[in-house]
Amino acid sequence: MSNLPDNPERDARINALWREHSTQLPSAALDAAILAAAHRAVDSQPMGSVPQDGDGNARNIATPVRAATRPQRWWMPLAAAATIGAIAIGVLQTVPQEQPDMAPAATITRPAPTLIPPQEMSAFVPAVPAPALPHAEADTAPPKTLGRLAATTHAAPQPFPAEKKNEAADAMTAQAPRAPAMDDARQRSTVAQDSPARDEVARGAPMASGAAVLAKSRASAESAPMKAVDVDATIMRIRKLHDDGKLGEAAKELLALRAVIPDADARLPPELRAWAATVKP
Amino acid sequence: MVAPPDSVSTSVSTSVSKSVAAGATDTFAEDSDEALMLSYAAGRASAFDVLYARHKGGVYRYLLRHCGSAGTADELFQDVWMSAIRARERYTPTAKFSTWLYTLARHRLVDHWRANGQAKFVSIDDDGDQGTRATVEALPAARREEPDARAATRQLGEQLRAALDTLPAAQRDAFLLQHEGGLSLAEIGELTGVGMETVKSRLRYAVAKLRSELISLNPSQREEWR
Repeated sequence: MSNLPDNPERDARINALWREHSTQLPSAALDAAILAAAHRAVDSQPMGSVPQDGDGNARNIATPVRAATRPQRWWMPLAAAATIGAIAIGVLQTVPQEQPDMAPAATITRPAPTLIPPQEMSAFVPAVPAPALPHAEADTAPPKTLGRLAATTHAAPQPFPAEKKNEAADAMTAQAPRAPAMDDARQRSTVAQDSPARDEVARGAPMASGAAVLAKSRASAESAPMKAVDVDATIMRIRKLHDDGKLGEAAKELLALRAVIPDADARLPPELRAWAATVKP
Repeated sequence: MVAPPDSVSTSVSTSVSKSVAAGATDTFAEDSDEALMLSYAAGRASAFDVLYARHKGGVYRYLLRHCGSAGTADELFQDVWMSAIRARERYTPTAKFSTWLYTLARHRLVDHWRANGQAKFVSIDDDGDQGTRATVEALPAARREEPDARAATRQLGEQLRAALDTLPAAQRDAFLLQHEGGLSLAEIGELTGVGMETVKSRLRYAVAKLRSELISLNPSQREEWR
């Protein structure tokens, strides 16, 4: 009799026979796959301590483990975003600095014309006005120096137009101090002619556009006669210096006049042209 | 005898605390299943290795004997352990780990049968005499009469497995949970959702039928089985 008396639903011989012949196991590949999955599942978790309650028993292990791993997961995208932001700021700060450096270089290195203060000019102005440039030319043609300055300024890239104008004007002023009247006239004409920002403002505001046009016409009316007087006075001074035998100073004045007017030699009196041909820069 | 859930939880927690406090990862072999599962949930992968080694054979054979196909058993076996891995953070030792694990296996088995249009556990009290008889008689006579003692023992084992396959699903389930899972009557009743007396009855029927079939197939051993 093999039945256990206190456990009639068990049979010792069947138990033994079952134990002996029930030996099937999962394949090694299946074992490896499951164990690998189990290890992968906890690989990201730190080997933290088991939290305990007041009685020293382990409680609620899963939540602290998740909390401990959370910082390692969120700092990476934050760091990537910070890096991208820093690069973007660096690029934005680099690009505008390169453009203003290029534009004033052409403007500032050009030699500034030597202009004559009004007090000196009046001494050389003849009693009878010398034949001046045609009035129409003086009215319509902008001053060449200012025109070139304006052309240069307009040609250069202008990320910050107002600042750039100020820088160029400051540079010109620093290199060649001028008479206050000339500076005023130049500033007025610069403001009136060369400031696209102000022109845009004037176009955008009808009330201000009339004032801008008025200022522009006043500046051109003032600068054109001044230009004619300057040239004539300079020519007169050159002739006087030449006649006095101060050929060096006369040559300097002639070079300065050439810098302003390319055809300065043609405007000289015929008796000075031969001498002017010998003056080289 | 099953320990009450509270006492299981407390003893397991204390065991884990001691193990962690000692910093001993090599003492997993002596830990209970529940402590191992908690250790695994805390991130100690080697605890799972011990746990898997303890239960892989029983779970695999439980599935294999129920579904009869090694390929299907492999698939279900992997699913069961993957479920255990995924559920590690939700695991609370309110009962024996083996009960929890075999519950996962049984649920997976039921899902498999449902997916295949079968409902093996529905007629839970069917004693299935006709099916048992037909399957056992289908065994090859030549193999049954093999003279070699070793071969005869192996043949007996095959007969036992064949007889088990013919048992009603509920009786086979109770038999396998007891012999492969090592579960008590109460644990089997809790797992299968029936009372302990029902479990006893199923087991008694199952054992009686297995003995009967083995005796009928081996008349010369009739006295040994009595």
